[in-house]
Amino acid sequence: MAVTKEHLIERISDYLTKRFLASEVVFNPKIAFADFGIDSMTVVELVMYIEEEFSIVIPADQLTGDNLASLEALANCAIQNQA
Amino acid sequence: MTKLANLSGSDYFHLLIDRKIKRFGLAGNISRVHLQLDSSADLPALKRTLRANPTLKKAANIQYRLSWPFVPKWVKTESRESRIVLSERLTTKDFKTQIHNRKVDNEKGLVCVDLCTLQNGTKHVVVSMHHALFDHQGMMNFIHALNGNFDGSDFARSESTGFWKSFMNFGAMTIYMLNRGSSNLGSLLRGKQSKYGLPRYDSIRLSAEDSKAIEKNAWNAGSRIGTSAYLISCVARSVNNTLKKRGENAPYLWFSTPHKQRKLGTKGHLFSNQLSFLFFKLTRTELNSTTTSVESMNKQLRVQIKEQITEKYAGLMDALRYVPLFLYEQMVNLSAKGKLASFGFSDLGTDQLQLELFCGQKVKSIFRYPPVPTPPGFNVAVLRSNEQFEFVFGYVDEAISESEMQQFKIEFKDHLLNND
Repeated sequence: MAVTKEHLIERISDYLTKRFLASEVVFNPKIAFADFGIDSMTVVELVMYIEEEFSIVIPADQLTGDNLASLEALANCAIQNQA
Repeated sequence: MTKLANLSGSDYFHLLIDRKIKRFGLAGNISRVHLQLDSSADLPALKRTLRANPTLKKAANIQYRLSWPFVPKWVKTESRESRIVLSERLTTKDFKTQIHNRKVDNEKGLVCVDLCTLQNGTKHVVVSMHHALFDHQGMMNFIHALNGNFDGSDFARSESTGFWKSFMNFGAMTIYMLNRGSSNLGSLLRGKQSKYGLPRYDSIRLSAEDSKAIEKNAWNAGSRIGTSAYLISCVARSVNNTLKKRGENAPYLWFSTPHKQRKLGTKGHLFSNQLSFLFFKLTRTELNSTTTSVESMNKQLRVQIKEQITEKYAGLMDALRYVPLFLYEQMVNLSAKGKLASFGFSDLGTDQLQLELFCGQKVKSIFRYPPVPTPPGFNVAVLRSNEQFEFVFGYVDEAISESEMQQFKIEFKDHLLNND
């Protein structure tokens, strides 16, 4: 069954908040990852989380700075690659 | 003495590294931030300001206490004076010798500030910080706190790992390390000398144009989501070339890179390390081109994320806090027969120290002297400021001579810019 962008954002936000962010941080998927101090290693983990949990593989040539700038951009890219 | 917090697993690991470095006659596992001030700076006034600084006072009174079989602790001592050393009319050589010999330890204090006027009229502040007390983010926070610009907590909230989880991590990581480490790894450090000379530092700052070209090369070489894999590959290939020129044909290079474990989204706390490590092995064949070494690192990174190696290794370091340091050292020596790594590499991310003023005095330029863990005796740190890459190399002569270092820099830059 196809995953909606909203569902994807909700699940990844939840994963990010529980695993990586300080408890006092209010996460906003539209704001750049860099503004939350989310580094490239954490983004790799998010891409792998999308692969594992939703079986969506983002091709390597689409892992560009623009597609990985924020959770919203990442979710848009993931949805486009949904089988 | 009042207990402040437990040492984290990575604090204790850095004490172990400190112990190893000191065995070779070096000052220890110390990071230094060097601020060159404007010639109008008033150093005696700065000394008075710093002496009254509450953050420096707080740091001066922190000590670690090893109380085996219990977990080691950070404790507050009876009021100890902040360590501020004012020196005048130093030659450049004397300044370097004084700074790189400056020890910070449990007895005297884990932080020291040197205020120096050189014979050429330049004025300098060097803050020396023990790596067991500070991780990189903590050091940045500390400098900002001295400047009155930090409102975070002193220590992180502690999260303890359950006994069984610690036990399982211990088993899994011990097997992992024993399987991977061996004495065959390529090492720049020569011979088995008992004393090494002072660490030296060198750096390369690339133009914005060259930095852009490097990012493009990194992408073309297969480095996705950041440039780290590409940068490390270029370091590894240059290390390998240096070894080849010495007639050494190492079967592989082995190294670890720090991975921060701090919670993201805030500047966090001042004291205590929260980090773990990622481990990479590049074989002779993989080192033939940057593309093949990046590909290998990408694969290894995915496996380590999947197997949660950073979490397990952090858990292992937590468990090892219950082992006395001398025994810990024996265990580490056993896993890699004393060689530990081919080189050190740290990606420090975006420069967080763009200060115009330090405690009211005008700052002209900032230099960083990261610790030089020995072995391996050669450490590379990269940071980005104003869209430019800056590489800082810390080394001991016994690992790489000054002339080899000059050649290394030329080749390294060539790898970065040409993606061969």
